Amino acid sequence: MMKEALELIQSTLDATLAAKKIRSFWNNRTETEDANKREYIVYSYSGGDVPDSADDHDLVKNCSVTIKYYYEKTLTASKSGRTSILDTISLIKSSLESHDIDVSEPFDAGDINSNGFYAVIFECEIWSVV
Amino acid sequence: MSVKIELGDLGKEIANILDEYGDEVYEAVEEGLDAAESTLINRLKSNSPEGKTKQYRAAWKSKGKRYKLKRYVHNTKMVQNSEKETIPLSNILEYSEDSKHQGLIKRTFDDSVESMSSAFMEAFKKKI
Repeated sequence: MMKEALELIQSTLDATLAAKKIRSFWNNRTETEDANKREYIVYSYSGGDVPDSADDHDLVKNCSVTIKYYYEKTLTASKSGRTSILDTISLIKSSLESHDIDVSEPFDAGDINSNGFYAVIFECEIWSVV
Repeated sequence: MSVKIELGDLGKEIANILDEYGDEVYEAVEEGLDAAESTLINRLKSNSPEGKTKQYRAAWKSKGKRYKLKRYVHNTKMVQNSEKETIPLSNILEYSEDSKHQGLIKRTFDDSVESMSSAFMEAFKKKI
């Protein structure tokens, strides 16, 4: 379940953000040549795989994934930069929802890594029938 | 106990009784939410890292009853990053790539669901 969930997140984000060259990474960012250096995504497994049962039969399982969209602080200095950030946030949310992934309202967590990038957090739940 | 109601006033009386019952249920739900919230706050306090000052652990708070039938719990401890920006410490501990406490708040919440439900039901039943 976890493997399928993470693959679904990766493929969804890749397809959605390819035009903006925003790359998505599982757990750790790695350098890629043609990537957008000012924006990137790191997602990680954050729990789940607990089955919900009825009459001693497992019905569904869920998997929680945290997605962090990072954008360079300097992008907020221009109107086009701010618009692009909001557009990306909206794209991420709608693309995940279109794959039946439950997505929390994204929120700004600030510069959590002290590296000049702000983070926007999406908490996701992926459900699958057992 | 019986209540004498004129037939013409029946609809109005039923509406009044339902209103009163609705108020009681509303108050019971609010009490239940308070109990569930306290449970979560206590769990967060006991699971959070102590740190040197223990301020983070003590800073789990309720936002009170400003939202009907909802409760929000947050941590009020703020810190400054290298660029002097103020940021909630809970954001750093929960989400920073370097934090060894990543996901602790979510795990604590998930693990507290059953005890929150029990606390809610206990308080709710006391009221109804």
